Amino acid sequence: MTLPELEKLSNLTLKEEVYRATLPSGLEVSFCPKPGFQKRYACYSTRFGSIDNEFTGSGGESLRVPDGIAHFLEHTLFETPKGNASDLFALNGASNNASTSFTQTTYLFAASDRFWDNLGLLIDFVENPCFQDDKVEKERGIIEQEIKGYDDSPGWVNYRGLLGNLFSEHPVRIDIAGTVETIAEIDTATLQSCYDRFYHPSNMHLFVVGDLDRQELFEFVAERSRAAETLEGELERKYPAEPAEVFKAEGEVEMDVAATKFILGFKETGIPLAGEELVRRELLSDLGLDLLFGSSSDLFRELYEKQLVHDGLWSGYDTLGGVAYAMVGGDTSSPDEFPGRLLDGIESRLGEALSRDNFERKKRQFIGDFVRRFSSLEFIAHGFTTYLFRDFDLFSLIDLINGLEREMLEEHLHSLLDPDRHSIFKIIPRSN
Amino acid sequence: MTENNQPALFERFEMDGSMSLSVNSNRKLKNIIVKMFVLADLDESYTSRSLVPMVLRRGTTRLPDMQALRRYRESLYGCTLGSSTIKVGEWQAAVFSLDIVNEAFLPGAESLFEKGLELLRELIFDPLVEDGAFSADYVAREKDLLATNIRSHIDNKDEYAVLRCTEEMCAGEPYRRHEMGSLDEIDGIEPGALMDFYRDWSSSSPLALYVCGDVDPEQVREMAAAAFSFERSEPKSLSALPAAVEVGQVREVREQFEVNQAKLVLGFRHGICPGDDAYEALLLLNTILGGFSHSKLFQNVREKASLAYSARSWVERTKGLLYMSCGIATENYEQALEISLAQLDAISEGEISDGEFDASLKTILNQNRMLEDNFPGLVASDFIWRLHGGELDLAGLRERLERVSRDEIAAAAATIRHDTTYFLHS
Repeated sequence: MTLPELEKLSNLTLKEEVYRATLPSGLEVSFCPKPGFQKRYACYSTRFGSIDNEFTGSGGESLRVPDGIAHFLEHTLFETPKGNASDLFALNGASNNASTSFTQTTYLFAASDRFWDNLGLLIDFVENPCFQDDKVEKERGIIEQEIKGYDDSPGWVNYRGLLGNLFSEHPVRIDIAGTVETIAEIDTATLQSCYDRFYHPSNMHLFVVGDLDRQELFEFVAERSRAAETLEGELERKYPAEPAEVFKAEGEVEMDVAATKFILGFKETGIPLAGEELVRRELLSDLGLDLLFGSSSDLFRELYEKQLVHDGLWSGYDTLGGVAYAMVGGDTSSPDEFPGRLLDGIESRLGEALSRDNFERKKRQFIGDFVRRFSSLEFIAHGFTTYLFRDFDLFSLIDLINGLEREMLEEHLHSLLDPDRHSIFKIIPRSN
Repeated sequence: MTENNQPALFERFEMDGSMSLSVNSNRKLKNIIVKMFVLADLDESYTSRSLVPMVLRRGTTRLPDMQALRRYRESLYGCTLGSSTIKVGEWQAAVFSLDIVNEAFLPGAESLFEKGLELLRELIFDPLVEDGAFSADYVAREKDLLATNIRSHIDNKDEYAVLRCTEEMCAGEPYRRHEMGSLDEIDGIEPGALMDFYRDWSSSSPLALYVCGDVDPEQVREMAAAAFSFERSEPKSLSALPAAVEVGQVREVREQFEVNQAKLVLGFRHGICPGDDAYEALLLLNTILGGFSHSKLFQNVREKASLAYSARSWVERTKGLLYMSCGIATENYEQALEISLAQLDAISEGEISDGEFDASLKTILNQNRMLEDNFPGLVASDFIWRLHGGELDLAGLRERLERVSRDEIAAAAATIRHDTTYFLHS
């Protein structure tokens, strides 16, 4: 068999290499050799997540599918004619899992031996769906319990509440698993139409990391993986137009919690879907949020000394489907005073937070964090896949961090933390 | 070399001041992972013992507040510094950890590990002292935080249900105590008394230091000796392993909350520890029962009866307990309880299919091999084995696992006693 030529990516600082090829079916395959490791790890991912609920089907038709279907599909794919895929992995001793995010579904396994049996199994069950009415019914009951479990998790309810406040139209406001009502509409036909479009090899990526022979690996995948039919038309995802303003400025829910939990969020629209510019924006946001709210910041010190925040503040930034949001959260015993002080602090402390010393120290931390993570096979596999889906190569992140400049950050933060585009969501202790 | 001719996982050094040093030198890590365990009994002082690491993380003599500490960590390429408290059977350990990039991967960085180790020493042994005591402000704030953290157990209903099951099952035994301490004890803790407690605890508790990374063990020994060489008193001896507890009638406890999903937790006693003859059979038993998705609980509670998203079991190996848990609709209590108990009964009657046995053995062997790449896991596991008088020997464990028969698993299951049923419902 003739294999497509392997592209080699490498990073001299990290002393790591990744080999990559696109098979004739359109499937992209990557491999990172890790000599000496017992664990071998593979993840098979598709660019299909909970926000992809309106798109052009495999025949070119326009489709609107029930909320939560990407996650439901993830569950049902495990049912194969030979039994549940997890059971089959267990017979090989491997541990396996799957997950669905806003933009991606991933199937994975880790094994120390019988690697080829397990890789074959992964490829077979992801590529050969077998949707049956009774299995779909059974899965519905399990997913209902999964959703109810999330509904009792204060952190999750807080996060979902904030996104529902920030966004009025975009599907990021919908829970990844959907609701008990929306998953009631899912059947084998809707699952199949999503599968046909989003599980086409050209929309997928297989990443393997471990102590393996690279030639053997690429040959195995090329042999085992399916050929693909050409689909009509390009896959087009439709996201509704999202206004720049936030949907609701405030919201709260009572739950059994010891202290009020809050998240302050900022919304962005008109964000690129992929590319270096997107990745730089994410880096700048993470760096800036950490500089402003992290435990080395003067703002955090002030809030802590005034006893407005219990412990740390956490922060994060996420981009998806043309929108983005920044969040900062924590626990407080002064829920009325706290958000105002936090917002004032952003205004008054931004300048000093971005001092040259602070900026250079924080960059150093980001470089160290990045290097440390390469001890983890999981980080390598998921990090590469996530960035490949954004047309970016993970190795280049270190150069991107080194190239960040203070002025860029200042400009970006002023636009990101626009006081006119914020919302707050709180989980408050139940009053009884 | 161990008896099965595998290189030992850790090179050991006995250091001055009753400190043991264990080094795993490997080419896999790009960072260096360091953990220091400070060990004591889970006795009446458990709340003070849990508060001390929280106060320590607030500041050292040289780096007197969190901002100074954090900024210094950032300058060391963002090394992480952690302090926490764990419970191992009826012992309690403070765990201080450092995770720092190996400078071989950072052109221009120098003596990073040395600086990191020194930072770890400062964190544990050189706290900020004001008027001979801990900073009154730090103690007050950390007491508040500890109280909030303890009250916050209820935020996570899965964990809360397990905690409540343990409190009920082990009422009257030291194991009932949570490693974080008790709300009732916090108020009475004063900065001066806490400093006295800290001085006694830090000078007389046995210390176990672990280092994993691409390092030279002999060099690590020298650096650790330089960093941690100071006068310490004779180490206090620890209490023996907990004695077996008789199980009478099954305790049933129900508590009502406003929840969407009820939590059922079942507590059992087995008394089997690492090094015991039945230990490997117990590990396999748990794998067959509820350790994984091929296990009986997952298959019968989730896949067949569609009652739950998660249904699992796990083993506590020092106190000798086993738990089963699932999240269900309140009205399915009887059915879930019956199905869960039936799975353990089935194993004790030898109802273990070829598929279950085969999958469980392969799964546990696979986990065992993969642990070789999981350094925090290796350290935690070895620490527990050492407390039981042995040391972690993965290859030896694999050999013993492969020799376990179905009869031995059934026999181990038959010794397990159901003690407590805890149900958190709407």
